[in-house]
Amino acid sequence: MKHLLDNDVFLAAIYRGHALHGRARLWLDAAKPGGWGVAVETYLAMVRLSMNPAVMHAGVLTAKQALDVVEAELGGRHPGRVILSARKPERSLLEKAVGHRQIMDFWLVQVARDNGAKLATADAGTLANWPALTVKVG
Amino acid sequence: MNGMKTTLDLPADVARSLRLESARRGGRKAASLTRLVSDAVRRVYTSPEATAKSRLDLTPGRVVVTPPRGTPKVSSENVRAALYD
Repeated sequence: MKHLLDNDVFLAAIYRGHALHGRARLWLDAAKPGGWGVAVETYLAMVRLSMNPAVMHAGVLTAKQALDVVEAELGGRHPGRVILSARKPERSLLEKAVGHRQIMDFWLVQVARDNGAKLATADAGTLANWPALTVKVG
Repeated sequence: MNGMKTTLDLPADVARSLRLESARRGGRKAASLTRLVSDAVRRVYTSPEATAKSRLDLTPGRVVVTPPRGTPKVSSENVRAALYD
Protein backbone atom coordinates (compact mmCIF):
# COMPACT_ATOMS: atom_id res chain seq x y z
CA MET A 1 0.00 0.00 0.00
CA LYS A 2 1.44 3.32 -1.08
CA HIS A 3 -1.16 5.81 0.11
CA LEU A 4 -3.51 6.10 3.07
CA LEU A 5 -6.29 8.66 2.53
CA ASP A 6 -7.26 11.11 5.24
CA ASN A 7 -10.91 11.78 6.05
CA ASP A 8 -11.23 14.92 3.94
CA VAL A 9 -9.60 13.46 0.83
CA PHE A 10 -11.75 10.32 0.99
CA LEU A 11 -14.94 12.40 1.19
CA ALA A 12 -13.75 14.84 -1.48
CA ALA A 13 -13.00 12.03 -3.95
CA ILE A 14 -16.50 10.60 -3.59
CA TYR A 15 -18.70 13.62 -2.96
CA ARG A 16 -19.31 15.94 -5.90
CA GLY A 17 -20.44 18.67 -3.49
CA HIS A 18 -16.95 18.98 -1.97
CA ALA A 19 -14.88 21.93 -3.15
CA LEU A 20 -11.92 19.61 -3.86
CA HIS A 21 -13.95 16.89 -5.59
CA GLY A 22 -12.49 17.18 -9.08
CA ARG A 23 -8.86 17.22 -7.98
CA ALA A 24 -9.30 14.55 -5.31
CA ARG A 25 -11.14 12.21 -7.71
CA LEU A 26 -8.43 12.58 -10.35
CA TRP A 27 -5.69 12.06 -7.79
CA LEU A 28 -7.30 8.94 -6.30
CA ASP A 29 -7.99 7.35 -9.68
CA ALA A 30 -4.33 7.83 -10.58
CA ALA A 31 -3.06 6.63 -7.20
CA LYS A 32 -5.16 3.47 -6.88
CA PRO A 33 -3.00 1.18 -9.02
CA GLY A 34 -0.07 1.82 -6.64
CA GLY A 35 -2.02 0.52 -3.68
CA TRP A 36 -4.23 2.51 -1.36
CA GLY A 37 -6.36 2.26 1.74
CA VAL A 38 -8.08 3.99 4.60
CA ALA A 39 -7.85 3.58 8.35
CA VAL A 40 -10.90 2.23 10.15
CA GLU A 41 -11.25 5.71 11.62
CA THR A 42 -11.55 7.20 8.11
CA TYR A 43 -14.02 4.52 7.03
CA LEU A 44 -16.24 5.52 9.96
CA ALA A 45 -15.64 9.24 9.41
CA MET A 46 -16.93 8.88 5.85
CA VAL A 47 -20.10 7.21 7.11
CA ARG A 48 -20.58 9.89 9.77
CA LEU A 49 -20.02 12.75 7.31
CA SER A 50 -22.42 11.26 4.77
CA MET A 51 -25.14 11.14 7.40
CA ASN A 52 -24.48 14.61 8.81
CA PRO A 53 -26.95 17.31 7.69
CA ALA A 54 -24.41 20.03 8.50
CA VAL A 55 -22.26 18.59 5.69
CA MET A 56 -24.75 17.01 3.29
CA HIS A 57 -27.75 19.29 3.94
CA ALA A 58 -30.86 17.86 2.25
CA GLY A 59 -28.77 15.18 0.55
CA VAL A 60 -27.90 13.26 3.72
CA LEU A 61 -27.54 9.53 3.26
CA THR A 62 -28.98 6.76 5.38
CA ALA A 63 -26.54 4.51 7.22
CA LYS A 64 -27.14 1.76 4.67
CA GLN A 65 -26.47 4.13 1.76
CA ALA A 66 -23.34 5.51 3.42
CA LEU A 67 -22.00 1.99 4.00
CA ASP A 68 -22.84 1.03 0.40
CA VAL A 69 -20.91 4.07 -0.82
CA VAL A 70 -17.81 3.25 1.21
CA GLU A 71 -17.84 -0.45 0.33
CA ALA A 72 -18.32 0.27 -3.37
CA GLU A 73 -15.43 2.74 -3.41
CA LEU A 74 -13.20 0.18 -1.69
CA GLY A 75 -14.06 -2.35 -4.40
CA GLY A 76 -13.38 -2.33 -8.10
CA ARG A 77 -10.26 -3.07 -10.10
CA HIS A 78 -7.86 -1.68 -7.48
CA PRO A 79 -9.47 -2.47 -4.12
CA GLY A 80 -8.61 -0.36 -1.11
CA ARG A 81 -7.48 -1.80 2.19
CA VAL A 82 -9.10 -0.98 5.53
CA ILE A 83 -6.38 -0.67 8.13
CA LEU A 84 -7.02 -1.57 11.75
CA SER A 85 -3.90 -0.49 13.57
CA ALA A 86 -2.45 -2.94 16.05
CA ARG A 87 -0.15 -0.32 17.57
CA LYS A 88 -0.70 2.27 20.25
CA PRO A 89 -0.62 5.96 19.36
CA GLU A 90 2.98 7.16 19.51
CA ARG A 91 3.70 9.98 21.88
CA SER A 92 6.54 11.41 19.82
CA LEU A 93 4.13 12.11 16.96
CA LEU A 94 1.06 13.22 18.88
CA GLU A 95 2.85 15.62 21.19
CA LYS A 96 3.60 17.85 18.21
CA ALA A 97 -0.13 18.56 17.83
CA VAL A 98 -1.23 22.15 18.34
CA GLY A 99 -4.90 21.90 19.22
CA HIS A 100 -7.31 19.01 19.46
CA ARG A 101 -8.07 18.85 15.74
CA GLN A 102 -4.55 17.72 14.91
CA ILE A 103 -4.63 14.63 17.11
CA MET A 104 -6.58 12.54 14.58
CA ASP A 105 -4.53 13.95 11.68
CA PHE A 106 -1.29 12.94 13.35
CA TRP A 107 -2.66 9.54 14.30
CA LEU A 108 -3.42 8.92 10.63
CA VAL A 109 0.15 9.94 9.81
CA GLN A 110 1.31 7.22 12.18
CA VAL A 111 -1.06 4.61 10.71
CA ALA A 112 0.23 5.44 7.23
CA ARG A 113 3.86 5.26 8.34
CA ASP A 114 3.35 1.97 10.22
CA ASN A 115 1.94 0.46 7.03
CA GLY A 116 4.68 1.69 4.74
CA ALA A 117 2.46 4.35 3.17
CA LYS A 118 2.18 8.13 2.98
CA LEU A 119 -0.87 10.00 4.18
CA ALA A 120 -2.73 11.68 1.31
CA THR A 121 -4.08 14.95 2.64
CA ALA A 122 -5.01 18.48 1.67
CA ASP A 123 -4.39 19.80 5.16
CA ALA A 124 -1.63 22.39 5.19
CA GLY A 125 -0.76 21.84 8.85
CA THR A 126 -0.30 18.09 8.47
CA LEU A 127 1.72 18.55 5.28
CA ALA A 128 3.97 21.13 6.95
CA ASN A 129 4.54 19.01 10.06
CA TRP A 130 5.20 15.71 8.28
CA PRO A 131 6.58 16.44 4.80
CA ALA A 132 8.32 13.07 4.53
CA LEU A 133 5.23 11.10 5.58
CA THR A 134 2.55 12.91 3.58
CA VAL A 135 1.56 13.69 0.01
CA LYS A 136 -0.48 16.71 -1.04
CA VAL A 137 -3.86 16.32 -2.71
CA GLY A 138 -5.58 19.30 -4.30
CA MET B 1 -25.96 33.75 3.91
CA ASN B 2 -29.13 33.67 1.78
CA GLY B 3 -31.66 33.21 4.53
CA MET B 4 -34.31 34.91 6.58
CA LYS B 5 -33.37 37.13 9.46
CA THR B 6 -35.94 36.92 12.20
CA THR B 7 -36.46 37.18 15.93
CA LEU B 8 -37.66 34.24 17.98
CA ASP B 9 -39.20 34.46 21.44
CA LEU B 10 -38.04 31.15 22.86
CA PRO B 11 -39.30 29.58 26.09
CA ALA B 12 -36.64 29.53 28.81
CA ASP B 13 -36.20 25.75 28.67
CA VAL B 14 -35.66 25.78 24.89
CA ALA B 15 -33.17 28.64 25.15
CA ARG B 16 -31.34 26.76 27.90
CA SER B 17 -31.23 23.58 25.80
CA LEU B 18 -29.76 25.53 22.90
CA ARG B 19 -27.10 27.11 25.09
CA LEU B 20 -26.15 23.75 26.58
CA GLU B 21 -25.99 22.07 23.18
CA SER B 22 -23.90 24.90 21.77
CA ALA B 23 -21.50 24.61 24.70
CA ARG B 24 -21.38 20.82 24.28
CA ARG B 25 -20.32 21.24 20.66
CA GLY B 26 -17.57 23.71 21.48
CA GLY B 27 -19.28 27.08 21.78
CA ARG B 28 -21.00 29.61 19.58
CA LYS B 29 -18.26 29.73 16.98
CA ALA B 30 -18.51 26.01 16.32
CA ALA B 31 -22.25 25.69 16.86
CA SER B 32 -24.12 28.96 16.64
CA LEU B 33 -27.75 29.19 17.69
CA THR B 34 -28.64 29.74 14.03
CA ARG B 35 -26.94 26.50 13.09
CA LEU B 36 -28.54 24.52 15.92
CA VAL B 37 -32.03 25.80 15.15
CA SER B 38 -31.56 25.23 11.41
CA ASP B 39 -30.36 21.66 11.92
CA ALA B 40 -33.25 20.90 14.26
CA VAL B 41 -35.87 22.35 11.90
CA ARG B 42 -34.43 20.41 8.95
CA ARG B 43 -34.57 17.19 10.92
CA VAL B 44 -38.06 17.64 12.30
CA TYR B 45 -40.04 19.55 9.71
CA THR B 46 -38.59 18.68 6.35
CA SER B 47 -40.84 16.03 4.85
CA PRO B 48 -39.30 13.20 2.82
CA GLU B 49 -41.36 14.31 -0.17
CA ALA B 50 -39.95 17.81 -0.03
CA THR B 51 -36.39 16.64 0.41
CA ALA B 52 -34.36 16.25 -2.70
CA LYS B 53 -32.01 13.31 -2.40
CA SER B 54 -28.41 12.75 -3.33
CA ARG B 55 -27.84 10.68 -6.45
CA LEU B 56 -25.56 7.68 -5.95
CA ASP B 57 -23.37 6.19 -8.64
CA LEU B 58 -22.06 3.03 -6.99
CA THR B 59 -19.68 1.96 -9.72
CA PRO B 60 -17.16 -0.23 -7.85
CA GLY B 61 -13.96 1.69 -7.30
CA ARG B 62 -15.33 4.92 -8.71
CA VAL B 63 -18.26 6.05 -6.60
CA VAL B 64 -19.78 9.49 -7.03
CA VAL B 65 -22.36 11.01 -4.72
CA THR B 66 -24.07 13.97 -6.37
CA PRO B 67 -25.96 16.31 -4.02
CA PRO B 68 -29.35 17.78 -4.86
CA ARG B 69 -29.30 20.93 -6.98
CA GLY B 70 -28.62 24.03 -4.92
CA THR B 71 -26.78 22.25 -2.12
CA PRO B 72 -23.98 24.45 -0.74
CA LYS B 73 -20.46 23.26 -1.43
CA VAL B 74 -18.62 21.74 1.50
CA SER B 75 -15.05 22.83 2.22
CA SER B 76 -12.24 21.04 4.00
CA GLU B 77 -12.83 23.38 6.92
CA ASN B 78 -16.51 22.35 7.06
CA VAL B 79 -15.42 18.72 7.15
CA ARG B 80 -13.00 19.32 10.00
CA ALA B 81 -15.62 21.21 11.96
CA ALA B 82 -18.16 18.43 11.48
CA LEU B 83 -15.73 15.74 12.57
CA TYR B 84 -13.89 17.35 15.38
CA ASP B 85 -16.22 19.85 17.08
